[in-house]
Amino acid sequence: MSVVSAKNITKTFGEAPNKTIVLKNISLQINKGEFLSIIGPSGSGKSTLMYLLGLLDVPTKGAIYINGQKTKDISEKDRAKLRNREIGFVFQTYNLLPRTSALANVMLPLNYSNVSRDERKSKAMKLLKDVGLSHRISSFPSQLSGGEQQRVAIARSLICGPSIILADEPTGNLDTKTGEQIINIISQLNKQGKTIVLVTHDNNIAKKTNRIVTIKDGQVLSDKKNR
Amino acid sequence: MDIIESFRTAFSALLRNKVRSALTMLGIIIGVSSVILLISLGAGLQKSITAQFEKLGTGTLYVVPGKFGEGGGLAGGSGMSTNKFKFSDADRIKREINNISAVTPGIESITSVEYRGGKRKGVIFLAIDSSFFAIGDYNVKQGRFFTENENKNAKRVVIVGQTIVEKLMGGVNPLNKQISVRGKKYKIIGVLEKQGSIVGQDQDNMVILPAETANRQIGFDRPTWILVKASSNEIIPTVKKDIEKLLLNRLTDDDFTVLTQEESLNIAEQILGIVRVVFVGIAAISLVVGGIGISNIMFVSVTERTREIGLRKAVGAAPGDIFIQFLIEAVTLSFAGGAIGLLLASIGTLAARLFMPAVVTPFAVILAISFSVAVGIIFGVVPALRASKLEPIEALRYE
Ligand SMILES: Nc1ncnc2c1ncn2[C@@H]1O[C@H](COP(=O)(O)OP(=O)(O)OP(=O)(O)O)[C@@H](O)[C@H]1O
Ligand SMILES: [Mg+2]
Repeated sequence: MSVVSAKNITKTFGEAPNKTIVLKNISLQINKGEFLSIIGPSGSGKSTLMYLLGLLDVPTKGAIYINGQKTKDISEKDRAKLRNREIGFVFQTYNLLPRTSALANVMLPLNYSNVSRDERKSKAMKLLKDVGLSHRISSFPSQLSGGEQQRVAIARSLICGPSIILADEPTGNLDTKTGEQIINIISQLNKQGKTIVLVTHDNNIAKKTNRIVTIKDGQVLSDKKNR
Repeated sequence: MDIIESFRTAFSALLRNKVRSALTMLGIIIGVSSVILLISLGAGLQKSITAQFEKLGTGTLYVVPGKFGEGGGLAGGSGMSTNKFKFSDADRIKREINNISAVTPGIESITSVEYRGGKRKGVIFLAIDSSFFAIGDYNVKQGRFFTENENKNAKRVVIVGQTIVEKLMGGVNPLNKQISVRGKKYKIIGVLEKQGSIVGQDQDNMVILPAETANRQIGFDRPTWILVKASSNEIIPTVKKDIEKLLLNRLTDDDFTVLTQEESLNIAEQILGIVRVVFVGIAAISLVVGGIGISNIMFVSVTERTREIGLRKAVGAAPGDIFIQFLIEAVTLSFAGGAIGLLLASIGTLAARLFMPAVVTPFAVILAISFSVAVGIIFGVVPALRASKLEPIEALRYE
């Protein structure tokens, strides 16, 4: 069964005269354990698609299914719950809370599920250790390098044990070498069984994934198995 | 979401902008402290005014010069220029009015008193005849009151309060010592028991002279009040009418007012009421201004933290979680303002205790807390709602 799937989704922004169609009738199935990359030129709609898959936005037409459950017409509260439990986000700009310690940033998603503070803390500590930051738990984002911040963000995306990780150009703001470290961490996660969607416009990165979906002008141009 | 976590977040957000938070709380601080001061001082004032009247016992009527509200003072102290009373008015009341148990006229003023080169200003000056001692709740601690004979013969004797002995005379045995009142010497024959202070006035800072002595030595010949004691409470309205009728033979309606104890208390209440309205006005305005300030700052905070809100939503915060978080922040702000206001008002009340039995009641504390929390909730709802309704994707894209 697919972890996340999109059925005939269309996304438009704006009203009649200024209406822009960003995604046109896209269908996509992401299966458990897959390591999938979405590539395409700038403005092709990659981020838009990823936000729709992650329930951060709603499609104009069509529906998104999470673990087989249709997410159309569910309340904002239930969508929040699904994001919390099933989806982990990694953004290009990290999106860590400023003036908040690395540990607290990693713990954040657990604040919205019923987990005791002690458990939140120990889970976050373990994840920070896994991404090699156990010495940086009380540092603020401003005291961390870009690569370190992105590792904190990865730890945060994992803390609720999501079914899928959605990463939008996670190496976009990093130099090649640091970017490679981040990609290594992500492929490691995939090897441990995590389903991963990686948005990128870097073909070399896409080549490291098992499946490459190419988008152009809001449509799927190709969907190929890799390796 | 965990409420404790919400409080943690609220605190750290507020501490991040200490100056801004403090300025925002100012309105609430002023509002809450005025409400509390109003209640505690109002209660204190009322207590002491009531005490002052009760000291003279129930069933007392006050005949004071002037038409009340047009220059007539509450205790008859003012209105001297229009005072047309004579001591003989008291005698006529005593002779011609039925159902009364006592009548006593008195002159009340403020004077300065000297003793061996030392001088004390603002001393309460009371000139009375011996009948007063039967009505007023005064007792001597040392020595004695003057007799009616001493009054009639205008003996130069004086009874003093504790403050005169302690502050002016340096605690010497005052009996038979001479003190100067308005430049003339009088022999101390008695010292009053300690009275304490009423409405901020030290009742022990007092000298009492025989009325006839005051007449001859100083030329004070008009009583500033006449106290009449009715023989029973039921008869008071009748006695009041009779006195008015009697005094109208010699005086006009504008020259005097007969007040029952109840009416006097009502007038005191009215004065308190004005004070109250002023305080309530200040309190209400500051609470509203404070509330608007909180609203304003919360809107700023929501805008500043748009990305934070977007991220929180992305990782699983429901609209309700965000709403609660910002509402708690607003309430924390107003509650802290309320707590500081309460603290300031308590200090103010402690200071006021020097003058009156003011006390911060539990009711006032509960009121302060509920007022400030209510302001936080009322003025925090709209910004919190706006925060909760932000689309996660718009918020994340926000620069
Ligand atoms: N809220 C919006 N309102 C209007 N247009 C939008 C909005 N969001 C996205 N778009 C448009 O949708 C198109 C696709 O945007 P999207 O961010 O998905 O592209 P992308 O493939 O991620 O590009 P990049 O590689 O530059 O990140 C763009 O033309 C963009 O201007
Ligand atoms: Mg993009």
